[in-house]
Amino acid sequence: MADGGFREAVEVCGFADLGYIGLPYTWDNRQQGRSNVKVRLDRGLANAKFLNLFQSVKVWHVQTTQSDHCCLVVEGLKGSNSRNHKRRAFQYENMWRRDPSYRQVVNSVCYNSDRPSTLNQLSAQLGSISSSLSSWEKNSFGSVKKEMSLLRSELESIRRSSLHSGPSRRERFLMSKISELLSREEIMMKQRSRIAWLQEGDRNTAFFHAKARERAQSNRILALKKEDGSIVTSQEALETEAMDFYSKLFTRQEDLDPGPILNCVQEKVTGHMNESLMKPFTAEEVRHEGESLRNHAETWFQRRLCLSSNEVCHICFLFNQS
Amino acid sequence: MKLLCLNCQGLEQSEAVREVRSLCELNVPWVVFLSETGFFSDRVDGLVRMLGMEGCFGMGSRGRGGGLALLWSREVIVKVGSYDKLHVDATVRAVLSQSEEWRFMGFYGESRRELRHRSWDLFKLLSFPKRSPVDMRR
Repeated sequence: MADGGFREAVEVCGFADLGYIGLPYTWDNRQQGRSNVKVRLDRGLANAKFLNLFQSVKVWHVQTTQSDHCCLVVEGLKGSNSRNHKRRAFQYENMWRRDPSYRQVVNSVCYNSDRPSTLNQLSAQLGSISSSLSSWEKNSFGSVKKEMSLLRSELESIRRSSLHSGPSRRERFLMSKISELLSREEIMMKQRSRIAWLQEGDRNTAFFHAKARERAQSNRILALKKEDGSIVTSQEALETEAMDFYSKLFTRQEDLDPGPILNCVQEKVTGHMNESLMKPFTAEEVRHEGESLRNHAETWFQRRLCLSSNEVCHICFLFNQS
Repeated sequence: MKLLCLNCQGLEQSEAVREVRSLCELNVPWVVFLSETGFFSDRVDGLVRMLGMEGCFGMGSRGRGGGLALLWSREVIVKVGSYDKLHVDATVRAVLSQSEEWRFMGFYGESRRELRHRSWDLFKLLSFPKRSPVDMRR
């Protein structure tokens, strides 16, 4: 609804729209033809505290017949029964770089193995980096939340015992530790929320949390429609359906003849151009491109994986060869 | 935990009540919030029985349109805080897990555009106490 007052009120209250599953409107004036109006008038809103009570909160638009409005069914699911805990796919966390031991972990893998000479070896090396990072993360970061609550309770007990004096050394230490954890949490949630316009360091963790949650909600696949029109919802069926779909999509179709289509396309690339396009990259070219892409792939590899620019060049060559 | 919210546009017709009942039977909600019940008086006892719920709170329409009803099952203990003809604000606690307590705000937007800002002001006012609201609009 184009109502600034509502949006402003929602923002002031710190509410997040719970979204919906089902048809995109909640009110239908049931008029015929062009005078028909369908809008989303009813919605579920909740603040972060409420969302934290549940593992997932979903809103269904349930169709009704006696009223022009949909029925909203809000369901809050607690932990275990909502989804089977699968091992999370490896994901690089921006906060890792803040830990001094991060470099050591990456280096220990890189220096203990030979320089990769094929893409397979490179992928294997990246794989071993990610697995050692995963176990390193578990040991040195653990559960930020759990650590945070432990630190908070310790801080509380320390402060209780020093009601009439200034902060002790231990208290200062705890405070800095908590604030480091907060920064880490913020960096993590910011990365998840994909919001680039707020600066790290603003301590907007709750906001990033809410945004990340919104993203996770909208990214979750609850059901897939199969080619024959039937709908699958179970986790395993979803997985096999997705696998089937993409392996079919990316498999070469043997009986396909591109001739008729190519006949309609004007030839733009001459034989000479094609020859120069097919030429392998030279180290000079890669370096030159690397200059202009300083903020992109090259620096990503260098900063994250502590690689030298020569090694980046080498990786580019490997991609070129395959 | 399930909540069910519906703008029923009048519950005088028995078909309308039956539909709400079937929705309740299907979803087994803990809390049901109905707006535009069209009930003139505050009494919603009959509705509680028909929907198989445990407790209720009604706000009569005092005229054409309007009317709110909050109903809940035996799964929860509900304390109604504030209410008027546009909202019901309640604290809901699960019987089985006493730690699970949250706040439900059933909100029915002011239909007259020129008065709508009142709705949003109320909205902001209600959200100030530091509990945790969920709410349904319209």
